[in-house]
Amino acid sequence: MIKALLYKEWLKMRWGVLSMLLLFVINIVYIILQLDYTMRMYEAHQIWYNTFIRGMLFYSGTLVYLPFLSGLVIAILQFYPEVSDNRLKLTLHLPMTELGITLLMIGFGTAILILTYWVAYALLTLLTTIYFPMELIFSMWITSLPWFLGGLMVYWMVTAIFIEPAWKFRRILLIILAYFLVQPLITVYNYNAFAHSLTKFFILSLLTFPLFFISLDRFRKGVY
Amino acid sequence: MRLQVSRIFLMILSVYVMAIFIPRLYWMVFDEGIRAPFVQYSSVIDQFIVMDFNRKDIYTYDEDGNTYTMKESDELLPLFNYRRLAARGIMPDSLKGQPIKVEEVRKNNFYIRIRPYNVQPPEIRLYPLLESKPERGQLALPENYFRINERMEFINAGANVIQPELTQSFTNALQENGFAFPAKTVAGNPSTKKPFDEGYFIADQKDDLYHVKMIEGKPYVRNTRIPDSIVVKELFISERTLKEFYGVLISQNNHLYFIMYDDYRLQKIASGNYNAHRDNVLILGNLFYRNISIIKDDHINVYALNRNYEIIDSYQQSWQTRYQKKAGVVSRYLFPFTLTLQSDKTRFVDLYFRFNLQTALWVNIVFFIVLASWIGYKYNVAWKQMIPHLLITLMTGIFGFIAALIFSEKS
Amino acid sequence: MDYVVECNNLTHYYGKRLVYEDMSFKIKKGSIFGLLGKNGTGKTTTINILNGYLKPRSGQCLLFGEDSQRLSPATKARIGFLMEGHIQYNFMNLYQIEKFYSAFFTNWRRDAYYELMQKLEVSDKQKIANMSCGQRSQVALGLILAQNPDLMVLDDYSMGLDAGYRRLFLDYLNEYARAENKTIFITSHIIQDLENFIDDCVILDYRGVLLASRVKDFQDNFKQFRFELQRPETFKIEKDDIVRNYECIKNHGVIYTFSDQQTIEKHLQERNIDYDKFHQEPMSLEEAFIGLTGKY
Repeated sequence: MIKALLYKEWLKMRWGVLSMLLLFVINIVYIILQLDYTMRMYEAHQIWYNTFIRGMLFYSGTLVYLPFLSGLVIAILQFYPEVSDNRLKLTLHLPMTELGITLLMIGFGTAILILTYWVAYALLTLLTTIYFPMELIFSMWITSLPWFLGGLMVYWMVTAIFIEPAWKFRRILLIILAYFLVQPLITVYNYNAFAHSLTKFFILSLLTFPLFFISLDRFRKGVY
Repeated sequence: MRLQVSRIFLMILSVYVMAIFIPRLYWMVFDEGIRAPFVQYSSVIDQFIVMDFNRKDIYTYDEDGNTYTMKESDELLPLFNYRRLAARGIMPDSLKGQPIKVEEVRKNNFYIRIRPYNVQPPEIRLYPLLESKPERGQLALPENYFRINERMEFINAGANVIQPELTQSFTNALQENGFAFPAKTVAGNPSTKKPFDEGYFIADQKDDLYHVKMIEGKPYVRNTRIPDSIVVKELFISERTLKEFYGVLISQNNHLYFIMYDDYRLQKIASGNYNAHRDNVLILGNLFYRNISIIKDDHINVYALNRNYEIIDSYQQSWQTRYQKKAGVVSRYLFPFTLTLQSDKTRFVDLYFRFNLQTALWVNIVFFIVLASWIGYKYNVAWKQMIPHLLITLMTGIFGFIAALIFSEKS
Repeated sequence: MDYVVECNNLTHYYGKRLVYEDMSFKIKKGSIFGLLGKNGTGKTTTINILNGYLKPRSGQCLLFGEDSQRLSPATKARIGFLMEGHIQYNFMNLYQIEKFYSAFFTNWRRDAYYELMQKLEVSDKQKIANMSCGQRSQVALGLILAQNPDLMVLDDYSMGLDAGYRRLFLDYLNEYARAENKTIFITSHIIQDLENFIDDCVILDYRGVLLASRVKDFQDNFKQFRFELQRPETFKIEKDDIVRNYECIKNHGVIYTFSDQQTIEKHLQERNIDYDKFHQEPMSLEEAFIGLTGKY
């Protein structure tokens, strides 16, 4: 049963996941090619100087928004088919507990999202180690983690927004809330800006995970 | 249970967002902008000159209450404004009975500003070590960057590999001088826009301070033998032709020192109740004086020191912070706390709270009562489910109140 | 346990608009139950309550003895659910959807599904989204038959289907239900198809429950009397316990009632209505339904 449910989730999102992976790979390869190019055109130590001393972020740019986009895309692909024509009723009618069904769906989406992020991180890290020492890699992780945290947050918020049955007011409020929650995370600051606060923002992101319980309860009660 | 916890989370998230954005909007409307005055000791009238920027036209006065125009104030600070005065042809030939040469004035002038966010900022701990005696006479950025972990490693930027020779020779030199690896603080002035290079000042695990530079590819290492009582918090190195001091040392207990050229002696400079993580410091130097301003949110302490670093005069001025003005007082009642993610005191993003719990308590209670009556009045709002909302409103006032209204649950 | 479904005193409002009040009905094991009503009278609302997707203002529904608000997975497995409009996972193809559902039900009858699918001239690889409304209904039917549930809840199976598919749908259901003593709960606004199909029914109106009875009793007891009027302008009567509904087209009067001819004639005479050629006319189930609920 679990396998079948995950199979359904995968059917919905597979093209989206592969596209996002491809986008990540293209973007990261582009970043590295550009880095390689500037290192050849100028001297490598000059690029190091700009990066370490002047705080240039060669990896910011589109990469800031890709985790956000993938969270959004996966949530939409997974839940738009469920809420259009109220298909969620079919899903919740499956002979499993409703909590089990929804947790599996959202857990699977989260896992796929994290896997996508992991692939992106691994590739970026692998390619960056050619040009930079570990200090920069650590700094890059700390600097870019909030963007990925923002992506998870968007995913969780958007699932709650989709399951929420009352279109007009409540969904708009949740969208506004999601915007203000995520916006600070996908803003580019100086490097290592979140060095002391990643845990706090991680906990804050986790708080958005169970919001779908509320939406689900409202869906079940038939709030209009 | 699960549902109730989720609802509390939703409330927390809403309160979090509102505690950031509502006060931000509030201050966008009501903030007046307060700038600290610029205070400098005049070598002409031997007292402090105060420039107040909070007036429309810059308004200058002295301690006796005499006011000056811009032009007049320029002339009261001839060393600071020597370029301007020289251009106008009114630079005095002598001051305090001493003949003045423009060259000397320029050499002795300096301006050091240390903002709280300069202290222990985010850093990538890789540093370029310049060649202090470059072959062609011009400072150049090196190809090698160093880190100090269990040794002093040099990494070549082009190849991204460790340079064994440099690593070996510098590590040896540090070890011979008793350096305790790894480094705690590394500070230098990695720039080519300076007259010469003094390399780095590096605090080790035993809190000893070392001076490290590269001369003709060879290590130059000196233990500065600073007193044990002084533990480095932060260093600001800047090479000057004056060659009086290498830079500023801020100790863990927030004292300010110059690291002097005479055998690394630490010259303490007046710093009042300076707090490196909160206050701005402005150190101005000229032929006759050292002018030190410790600028806090609501007051400024200025010390005029002679060239022997003895205090000859001091000045204090305080002003209303925005929280003491009308809009600020209202804000302290309205918002039980406010939250910002960024601060003018640091370059780190974090949750920066500002609590007004005591002043806002009564307003919180009013919001609590209004919410409770609203719940009682609305036939379709669930009492039991709103208990957390009520409690959160009691604690977070306006933020919880709005959150409870928009995310109320019908029965 | 005799009853598969028991709904007791259901009351529901949308905001302040009453859908129905104190609706109660029971469905016996092995019977086919029809919830009939025009569009917007609360059929889907009832289905939603039955499936636990709507909490009624008061009252409760029991399915296999379990509160419909908290159905256990085992009970859900015994209930086949056809959504209004034959909604299914239209991002799947015929093969994928069978593979998906088969994992959830122990009594899954793969053959029943593929038997029906073979009649549709579509390939296994075709996505449900790209099928016609009729084909989609067959997929939904195939899935529900393969699930082999003890209770089928069918929300407006007729929606969007032409006569042929409607017939086909009911033929399969009929065969299935009679052969295996299964229970069916069906809603529809097309009544003619359900004649000789449903055993019991509840008829809903905008104001609530109009009738709850065996279909046979309804058809036997509900009568239509027709007559000609001398002066149509004198035909002034009101709906009450005797006259359930009436019509007047030019000089033809019609009265729908559960009462007998004598009572109605007396009723007319008491109101000084002159009539002629008074006679009873037989009705189909659909005509009886319209007679009861009115044309508007």
